[in-house]
Amino acid sequence: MTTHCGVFRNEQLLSEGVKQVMDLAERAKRVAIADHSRTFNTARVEALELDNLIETAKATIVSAHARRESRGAQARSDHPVRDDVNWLKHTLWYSEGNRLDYKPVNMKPLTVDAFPPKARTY
Amino acid sequence: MRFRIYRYDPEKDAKPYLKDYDVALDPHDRMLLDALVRLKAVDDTLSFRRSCREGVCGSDAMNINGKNGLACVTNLKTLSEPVVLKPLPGLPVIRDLIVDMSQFFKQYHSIKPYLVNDTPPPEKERLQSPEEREELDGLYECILCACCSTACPSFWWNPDKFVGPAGLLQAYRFIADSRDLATNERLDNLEDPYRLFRCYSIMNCVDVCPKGLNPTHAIGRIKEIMLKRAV
Repeated sequence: MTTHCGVFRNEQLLSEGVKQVMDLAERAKRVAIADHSRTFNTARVEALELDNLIETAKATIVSAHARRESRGAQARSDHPVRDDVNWLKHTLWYSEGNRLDYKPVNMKPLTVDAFPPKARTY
Repeated sequence: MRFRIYRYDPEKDAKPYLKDYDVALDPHDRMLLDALVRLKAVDDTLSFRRSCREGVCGSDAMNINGKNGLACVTNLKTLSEPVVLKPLPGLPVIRDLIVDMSQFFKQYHSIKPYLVNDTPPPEKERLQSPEEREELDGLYECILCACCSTACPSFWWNPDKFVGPAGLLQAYRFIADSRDLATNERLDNLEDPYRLFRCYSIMNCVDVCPKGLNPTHAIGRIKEIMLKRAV
C-alpha cells in the first residue's frame, strides 16, 4: 500500500497495486497459525488484524484507482486537477463482490448555510 | 544474530526454559524490536507486547542481556550475542516475555495520579507560569513501562507495600504541580515505613529508565518536602 497507494499516485501504480492486494486477499484466506495457546495468543490477534487490514486495503486502493482526479489526500499525477463535474460524490465500497457505488454530496446541510464547492488553493 | 529467549506457556510447559534462536536480519533492522518481529514471522508462538515501536507506549519493556529496557529503542549494535531476553523481573509471568502488570498499576493508582483541585474551575484553563511548568520537566515524560520498578530490589521485596520508583516519580509530579492542591494528603499517603521510605537510593531505576528520567531525585525531593513539613 505504501508503494502503490501512497502520497503520489497514478494509473500504472494503482492498477498494479489493486492486482497485488487482490492476490494477497486470496492468500490471506488460507492463513494458518502454529500457536494454539489460549494464553495471550498474539499470533491469533495478528491473524484477525490481517483480515481487517486486507479489507481496508481493498476499500482504499479500489476506490482510489477508480477516482480519476485529484482531491484532498488523493493526488494523482495523471489526473492532477479536481473534477467537480464527474467526481463531486462520495465513494461507497462493498466487500461483497468488491464493487463500487457512489452517493451524492449533501448540498443542503441542516444547521449551517451551504457554500458552493470550489477548488482549494493555498 | 543469535538470541536466547525465555519461553513459558502455562498451558504446555511445566517450567520456563530458554530457547535459542538464530534470526536472519534485514539490513534495515535497527532495533531489537525489529529482530523480534522478524523472529515472530518464523515462530509465531513467541509472545511479547509491542505497539508504537518508537519508545512512546512502553509496551515492549523486557530484560535485555540482564538490563531492563524497551526493545524498540535498543539498538541491535549495542548488544552482545547471544542476546538473552527475559520478562521483566519480579512480576508474575503470564507467558513468554509478557508479565502481569497488575501490582505495578495498583501502586501507581494508589498515589492518585491525577490533579486534585476543588476550587471552581476558571472559565478557561488553570494557568501556569513558564517557571511552574518547568518544574514538571523530567516528571511528566514517564510512559509507565515499568523498567524502573522491576529493576528495584525494594520493589522486588515489597511490591505490595512499596510504591516503587515509577509510582513515586508520579507522586512527586503532582506534588510539584502548581495547580494541584492536595500536597498534604499526598504526603500523608506516603508517610509510612514502606510506601516511600523503602527507597534506599539504589538507583537501579535511574540506570535503566529508557526516557532518561530520575526517580531517585524525585523521591529525594518528596523526602525533603516531608521533612520541611515536619519541622
